[in-house]
Amino acid sequence: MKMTTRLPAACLGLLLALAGPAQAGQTQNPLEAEAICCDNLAGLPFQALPAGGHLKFRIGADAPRFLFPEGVSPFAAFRLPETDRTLELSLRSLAGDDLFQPRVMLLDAAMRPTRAFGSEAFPYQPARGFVPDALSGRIQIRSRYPGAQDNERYLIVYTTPEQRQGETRLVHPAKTFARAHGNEPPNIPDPIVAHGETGTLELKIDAEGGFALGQTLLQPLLGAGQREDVVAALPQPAVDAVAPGPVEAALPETEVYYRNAIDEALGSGDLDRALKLAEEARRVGAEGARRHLLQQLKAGLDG
Amino acid sequence: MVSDSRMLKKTPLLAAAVAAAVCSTSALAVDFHGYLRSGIGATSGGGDQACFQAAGAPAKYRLGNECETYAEIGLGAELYNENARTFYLDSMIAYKSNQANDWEAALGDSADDGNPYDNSVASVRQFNVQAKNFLDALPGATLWAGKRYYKRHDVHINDYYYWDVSGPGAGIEDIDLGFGKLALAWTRNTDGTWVYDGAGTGTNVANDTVDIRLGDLKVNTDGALELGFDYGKANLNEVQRDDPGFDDQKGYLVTVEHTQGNWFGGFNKLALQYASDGMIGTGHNNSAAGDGDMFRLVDQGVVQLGDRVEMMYVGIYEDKDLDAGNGQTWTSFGVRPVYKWNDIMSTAVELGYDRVEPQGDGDDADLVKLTLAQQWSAGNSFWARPQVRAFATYARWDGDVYNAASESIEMGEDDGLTFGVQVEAWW
Repeated sequence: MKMTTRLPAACLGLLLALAGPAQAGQTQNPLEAEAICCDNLAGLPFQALPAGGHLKFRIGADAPRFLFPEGVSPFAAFRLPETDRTLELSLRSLAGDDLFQPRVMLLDAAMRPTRAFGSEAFPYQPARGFVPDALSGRIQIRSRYPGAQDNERYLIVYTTPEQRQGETRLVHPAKTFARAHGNEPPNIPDPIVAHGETGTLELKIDAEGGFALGQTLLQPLLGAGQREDVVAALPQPAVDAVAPGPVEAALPETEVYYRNAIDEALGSGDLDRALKLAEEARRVGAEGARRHLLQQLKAGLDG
Repeated sequence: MVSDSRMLKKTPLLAAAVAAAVCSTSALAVDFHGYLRSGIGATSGGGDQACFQAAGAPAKYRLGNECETYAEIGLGAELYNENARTFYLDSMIAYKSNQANDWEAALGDSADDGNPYDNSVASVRQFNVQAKNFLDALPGATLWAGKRYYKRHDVHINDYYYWDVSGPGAGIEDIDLGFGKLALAWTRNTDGTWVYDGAGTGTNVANDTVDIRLGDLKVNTDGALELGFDYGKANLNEVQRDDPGFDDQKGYLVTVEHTQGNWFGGFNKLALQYASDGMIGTGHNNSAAGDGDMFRLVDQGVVQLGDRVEMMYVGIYEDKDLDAGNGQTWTSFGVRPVYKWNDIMSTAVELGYDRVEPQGDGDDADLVKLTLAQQWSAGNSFWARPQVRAFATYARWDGDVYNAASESIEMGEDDGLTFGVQVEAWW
């Protein structure tokens, strides 16, 4: 997907990043740091995704990059529709010449991370019918009522340096054919695709229960099959419930996110960014982040 | 699903299967597999599409050369899964018709009396249960029973199954020996000896095949060997044993197959087979077969020829040497290169040649077939399906012995041209 920097914040972030590449040298690859688009999550170039929308996009070499807690990664960011129905999100990363093993972060209306889904949530699904080889999974978007602050409203697809070390073993198409036919699959090695920073992905967002009967029956052919399995495969540790309490309460992972981001900023000598992060964290109720920053600074002074 | 059990008994099988698929999406995951080929075609000069096969040849090159609708609907489900012990139920219904009409009743009457409205047949070809990890002493092994497509080996471009013992059966597969995997099976086929009129017993002959396979023997880089031994025997009952009209025919089939991966961007499979007497064929015993022996070589593969061209090839040589002198040799070569224009469109050419030479007196039969097809498919792999193709097929043969598989080709003609549109899908 061609991510045009439509939002001023994104441009600003890019300028800032370009202005200070020397600061980035300590922990990050300078080239990576150079391309970081934005200062904070709120500044990401979010693209609106309508309900019922089906989007095929490419995260290419020119995709914007951001410093996520796990490291710098190219990403695609989306704004989810506001609706009173439970939304279901299908993400499919297609295995072709390249393969982007996705990690998905969901943010609420106040831009606080709510949940993250790692590679376990997007297992390999062999090519079938009209659907090519892909890493795919489904996520139910949490929404209490229209306008609720803790409704999940933003979606970020990115990857981690660790994921990029991996690879996916595909099922050889001759074996798929043999199995569909009830034949003995040829005893040959399967193709392997390395995970990278680029890839082609498909995103579909639908109201839950939006499938017609015919579609349900043809799910395997249409590629939406094995829904139960995929949902069951969601990693439990990564899925923490949003407490339906007051908006002020920051989630533990929000705290962790900001602490990590502050550490990253400090590690790269970017004190300004660290302060901004602490301020932003306080606004969203993550009080611990500011304390963490102070501790880190104090420790730095003491050391 | 429990409430469905009563319904299943009353409704036709297909409807029940569809109902099961729909109901079960909420209860348990159903694997929906299947196959389809269908379409429409015609012969230049008039008439329905003719399909070209050399007289006496066990197979024909299939691209743009299939005249029937054939479909398989497979539904399977894992019914039990505790501590890696699983029970899997698999089923498959097959359907075939002449694709002559909208309404082609499946009356189960295999004799096609020419009525274009009731020419189709349907059959339950698979219904079995596979129990994996059924025995602690055999980790990974699967016990199975029921009707099953059992480890069939085929050549895709001419739809030829050279090793196929499928049928009702039972066995244990995937026994891990450390250096390879062992599979044992007992399967059944029944002869149509009911037509034997010597004594007029009107009984059928049950044949048994005992199948032993040792596979997954890694013999070289990306290469694996599989060894197979099939012993087949007519299982005569007392009446049949006392009747001199029935033969206690038996035989064996030995198969050695080598599969090479990473072979010019694809793979190669070489199979050598030797069979005796009743087992001359592809894996089923024939109680009425004559004595003799058979040697067969099948070499096939798919290779990548540059970025845009993929090609499947096959060479077959089969020599049936029968004591009665009525054997034959069959030689067959075929290639199907596919040029990919983009992710969904390709052009395929299929050139196939078959030659059948009788062991005794008699004319040789040969046939060469050439097809040009423009194809649209989901993805650009050689195996990508569903695929819709528009084709033109030209065939030329030795006129005296060719049996036209169509009313559109008259006896004595020695070539034919057909065209049409066909879909092929598997999932």
